[in-house]
Amino acid sequence: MNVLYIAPYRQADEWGVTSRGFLKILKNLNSEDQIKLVSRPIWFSGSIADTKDLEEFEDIESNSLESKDILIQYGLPDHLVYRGDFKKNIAITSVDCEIEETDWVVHLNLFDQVIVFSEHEKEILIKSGVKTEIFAFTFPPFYFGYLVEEKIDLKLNNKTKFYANAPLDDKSGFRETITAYLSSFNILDDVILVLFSNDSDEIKKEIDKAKFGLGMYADDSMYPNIAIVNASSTEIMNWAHENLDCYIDVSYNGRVSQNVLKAISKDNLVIVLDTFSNIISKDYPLSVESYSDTCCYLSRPINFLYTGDSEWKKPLVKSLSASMRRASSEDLEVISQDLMALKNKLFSLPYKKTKEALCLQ
Amino acid sequence: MFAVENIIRSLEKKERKRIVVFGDYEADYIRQLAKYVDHDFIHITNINPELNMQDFGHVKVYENEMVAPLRSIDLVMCFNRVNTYNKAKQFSNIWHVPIVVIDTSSSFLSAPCPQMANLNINNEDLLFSQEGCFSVGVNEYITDSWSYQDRGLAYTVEPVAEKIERKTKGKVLIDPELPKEYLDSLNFITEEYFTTNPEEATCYLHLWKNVNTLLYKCIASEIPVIVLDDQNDLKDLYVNQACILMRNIEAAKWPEIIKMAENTDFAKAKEYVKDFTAEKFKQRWESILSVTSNIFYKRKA
Repeated sequence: MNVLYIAPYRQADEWGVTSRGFLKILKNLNSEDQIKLVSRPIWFSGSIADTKDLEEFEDIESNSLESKDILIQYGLPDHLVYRGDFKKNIAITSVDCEIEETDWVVHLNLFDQVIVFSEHEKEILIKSGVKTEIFAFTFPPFYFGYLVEEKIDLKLNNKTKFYANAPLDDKSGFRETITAYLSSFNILDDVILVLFSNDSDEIKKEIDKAKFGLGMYADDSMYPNIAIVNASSTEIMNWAHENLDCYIDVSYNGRVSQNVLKAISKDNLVIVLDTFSNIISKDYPLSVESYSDTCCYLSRPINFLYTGDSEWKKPLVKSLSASMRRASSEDLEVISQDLMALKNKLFSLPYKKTKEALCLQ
Repeated sequence: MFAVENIIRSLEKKERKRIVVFGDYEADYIRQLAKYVDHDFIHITNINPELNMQDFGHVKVYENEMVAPLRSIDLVMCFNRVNTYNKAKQFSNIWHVPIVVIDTSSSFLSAPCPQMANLNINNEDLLFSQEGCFSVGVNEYITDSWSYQDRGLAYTVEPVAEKIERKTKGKVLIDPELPKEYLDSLNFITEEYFTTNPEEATCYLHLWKNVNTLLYKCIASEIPVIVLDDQNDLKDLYVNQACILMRNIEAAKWPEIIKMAENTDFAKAKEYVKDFTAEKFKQRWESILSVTSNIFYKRKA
C-alpha cells in the first residue's frame, strides 16, 4: 500500500514538530513493510526546521510513488486538496475553536477520513458539522528532535524551576501564568520562573504591568524571580526540558503541545489545563481548572476564526496558582507517577492509533 | 492549494513540463527555449507583452501573473537576480516548485544594464544568495562569476546563434527591447540611420553592458557588432575579435561606420559563435530539466 504524506514537517514550529512525529511513525511502518511511504514537505509559514532534525527522513523523500493508494495531508483545512486519483484521502488537521461558520467544514467533508490529535478537537469538528469519519488520537505523535548542548549559560540553584514558552499571543496563557506565579510566591520562596520568548522587551513590560496590577508589595523586588531567555526555538526549548523542573502550558489550544510531551519525556512535571486530564489522569494534582469564555483575539491571525461567536477554554488563575504552589511544595515523586504512566505510552500509543487509522494489523 | 497539486505533479514526473518564466528583456532567449526545448512555457512580462510569440506554439505570454493560468506548474525560471527574481522566488515559494535562475550578466555587473546607465543595487553581496536550485549562465564567464563556495548547481547554456535573413541593408540595428526613454536620451541615435528590424541591418550597435541573444545572432549572420565600452561582460568578445570597440561615437559619422561595417572580416567572429548551436542548446536544457525533475522544492533559510 503506497502512502504519500504531504505535511509541514520541515517547519520549525509546533506544526512542524508534530508532523515530524507523525512522519516518524509512518517511517516505522514503512520499515516494517506495512506501507510504502513517500513524503514531501509543504510550508504554511516561513519557519524552517534545523536540518539535523530532518536527516533521518531524507531516504523517505527519495522514494518514488508507485501507485496512488493513500494521500495523507496535514494542514489547516483550506490548504488541503481532495484528490480523486487516490483511493483514500486523509486529512490531518488541528482546531481549537468552532469552525461551523467557515468553509473548512466543506473542505473536510470531501475527505474520506479526518485525523485529529485530541478528543477535544474531535468534539469541536462534530459540533461544527463535519460529517466525515473522524479519528482522534489521545495526544499528538511525539517528536523530541536533537539537543543543543550548553547553548544557554544559565546556572539556577532554586528548588523549583518553573518554565514556560511565552509567545505574546492572546491565547498562549502567558498572562495568566505570570499573574498566578507573581501572586503565589515572593522573593523568599526558593522558586524561579524561566520564560522563553522571542520578544523579551515586551515580556518584561507585561511582567511590570502584572506586578503593578497585582499591587501586592510596595517594593517590586519582593516579587519572585523571573528569568527571560530571548529565544524559543525547538533546540532552546529542548535544553529547557533537560535542565528545568516544571513546564507550564495553559494555552487555550485544543490539544497537548509537543513541549508538554517533551517535558514528560524528560521526567519533568507539567502544569496543564484540566481539558487534558483524561490523557494524564483524572486526579492529576497539577491540572488547572478551565472555564469556557467568548473568544476575543486581538491579533486576529485568521479573519474568520476565533470570532465572538466561538468559545475557548481559559485557565482559572486561582487554580493555576494552587497547582504552582503544589508543584513547589509537595512530594514531586508522588505527583510524577501519573506522568510516568503517560511517558511509557508516548511512542507506543500514537503508533497504535496510526495503525488503527490506516487499518493495518 | 496549488502547492499540493504541484507537489503531486512533481512525483508524477510528467515528461512535458509547464514552466513559468519571469523576464522583461529576454524575449529572444525565451523564444529559443520555446522553439528548441519541447515543453510548455508561460512567459510573464511587464514589458512588450504584445511581442508575438504565439508562432512558436509552446509559449504563451501574459502581462501579469493575475491573468496567467498558473495551475499545475513544474518549474519557475527567471532572468538574473534583480527585478523579476523576487517575484519568481515568491511564486516558487507559494507554488512549491523549484526555481532556475538564468544569468545574462556577470556578478561584476549584477544585472543587465544599458550602456551609460547605472544600476542602483543596495546590497550586491546579497545577489549571490539569490540563486536557484539551478543557475544557468549564458556564457562561461558569467557562470564562473556567480559561482562560489559550491552553492547550488551551475551550468552554462549559450543561446543559439541563429542566422538572421537580411532583406535590405544600410541601417544600424538597435535592440528593440531597449526602453524608448533610454534611446531618446542618446544624442547620437538618429532615426535616419537606425532600425529595430534585424532584416534591415548592416551592423548592430550593442547598447547593453551585458551580452544578449541578439548579439550572438548578429555575429552568426555576419552583421558586425559595435560596442561602446570595454565592459567586463563584453571583454571576451573584443579580445576574440568578435566585435568592434568604438569609444567615441558621433551622429555625423554613421555613414562612414556603415560603410566600414560592410567590409568587415568575419572569420574570427564566426569562429567565436560556431558552437552556439541549436543541438547543444537543446541537449543542455533537456539535461537541466531532467535534473530538475529529480529535485523537489525545499525552502531555504
